[in-house]
Amino acid sequence: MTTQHSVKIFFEGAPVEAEEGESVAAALQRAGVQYTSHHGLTGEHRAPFCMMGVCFECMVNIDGHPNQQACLTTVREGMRVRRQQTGKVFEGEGA
Amino acid sequence: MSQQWDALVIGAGPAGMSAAAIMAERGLQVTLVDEQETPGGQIYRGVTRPQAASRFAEIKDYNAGLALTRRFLASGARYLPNTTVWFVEPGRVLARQGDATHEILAAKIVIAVGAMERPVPFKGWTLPGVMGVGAAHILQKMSGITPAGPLVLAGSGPLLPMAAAHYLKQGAPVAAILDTTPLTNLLRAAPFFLPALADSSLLWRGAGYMLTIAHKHVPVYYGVTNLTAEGADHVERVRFVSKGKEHSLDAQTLLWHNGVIPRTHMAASADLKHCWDRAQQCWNTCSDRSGHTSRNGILVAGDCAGVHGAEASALQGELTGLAIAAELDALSRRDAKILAWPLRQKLWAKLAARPFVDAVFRPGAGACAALDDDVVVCRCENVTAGEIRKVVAEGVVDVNEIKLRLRPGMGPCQGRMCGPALAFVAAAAAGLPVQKVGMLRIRPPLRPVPLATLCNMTKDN
Repeated sequence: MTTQHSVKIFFEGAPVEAEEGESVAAALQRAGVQYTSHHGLTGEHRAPFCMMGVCFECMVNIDGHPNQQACLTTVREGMRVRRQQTGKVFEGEGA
Repeated sequence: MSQQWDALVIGAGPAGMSAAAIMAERGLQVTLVDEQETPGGQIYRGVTRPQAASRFAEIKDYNAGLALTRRFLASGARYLPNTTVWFVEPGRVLARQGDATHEILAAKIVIAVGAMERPVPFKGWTLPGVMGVGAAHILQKMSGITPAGPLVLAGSGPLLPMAAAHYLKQGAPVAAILDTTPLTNLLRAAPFFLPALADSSLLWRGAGYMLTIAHKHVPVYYGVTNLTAEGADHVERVRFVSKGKEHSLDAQTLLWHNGVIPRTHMAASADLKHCWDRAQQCWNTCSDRSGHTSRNGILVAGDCAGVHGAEASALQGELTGLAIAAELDALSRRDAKILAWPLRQKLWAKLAARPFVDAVFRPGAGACAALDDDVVVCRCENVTAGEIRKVVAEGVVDVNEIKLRLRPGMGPCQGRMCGPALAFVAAAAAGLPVQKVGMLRIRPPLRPVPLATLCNMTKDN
């Protein structure tokens, strides 16, 4: 069985081991991350629902760029991922 | 001056890859764009990744996906992965790749963006830990991840027993299966059973899954209603009613499935005509048997125009590709007909079982009508069923007018997740058939595009 290469990313400052070629959302799921965003209107916790890019619940901030869909973004070595608001995003709150 | 391509295919699933392959093999200049990093779409997602063979639940699917991918990659079509289309009009597409915007010109555009799970709200569905069954499949195929247990599967549709059987074979902690299929559906489906035997492999598969579930003694509840996910910040418990009794189960993951519907967003943004599918209770892009739509120069192939499954999608992709090849004189019409004939035969057999499956799993109109007022319908803008009903009571019944009043569909997902339920809730409240309350109007950009990327436009050379 060929093993996948490991990639290290960071979520909220903490290191996360990921598989090469997988999505950020999958890596966070494996690491047991309970939620990936706060809802802009209610403040409640949200997490990926569809894993294929239609629900937009997995939006995170990656290396300073907001509104990245974690399920459509492939992990890269050293990536820094942070939570942001999802749903209704207010001005200046994305970063 | 931008290069003019013969055909641009959007989507690297079975339909897209088949269409691109057959056109490129006939000598046409073809580009295929796809938002993912590797080909396969959803059903064959990650099929080229190193551990795919062990991660695909059915080796048959893995083999089919890999063969098709190899054919596509060898065909000579230009393949642009990590490329997200956000604007489509006849002859011209705008897509984002990294920090750049590409303009691609093509005589024929084939939309092959596939399907999505039907988004059906229920109380507590926005809690972390609640996901689509399809989402769990993607985690499995791409990353070999099994969701945390106790694991409860709920909903209605062929993917439900299939997913349950696969998890059980892997030894995953499946606590229960909650089937929300209205019990009256079996009566409705009975007349379609005999024609369904034309594709008996589908039915045998289904029977196999049911046997696995029975063998592992996993409790299955039927006629489930009043489904509720509960928990502080994450799903901890699932409550429901089955056969008059109330139940409560501990759960860390709740997988929800209610069938599959076409992804019509892109086609809708290009102002293509859509038809209401009564059997599947969803909108399909209107198309003829070669994928021609209401607008010249834009064709559709695969599940995005009407859900029939992966094998049917691949056949439809080839038929669309052949039609285009004939139209662009890479093939005589006579030769195209001869090549199409065996494909149409196979397609007929694949479609034969669908009416039975569709009838068994037809969504009950009552499901959305029965939602409590406080259930969130639009996840992005937090619009509840009650708020929608209030506005309908004031005489606003068209979904686009409801959108203007309450903002469902104005969030990041642009109505992908709330469009169907919005229509069902509004129609039930207004006492109208669902197709009479309209379809959300979709405007580009179809995906978020940073301004800097827009300014960084390259013309295709």
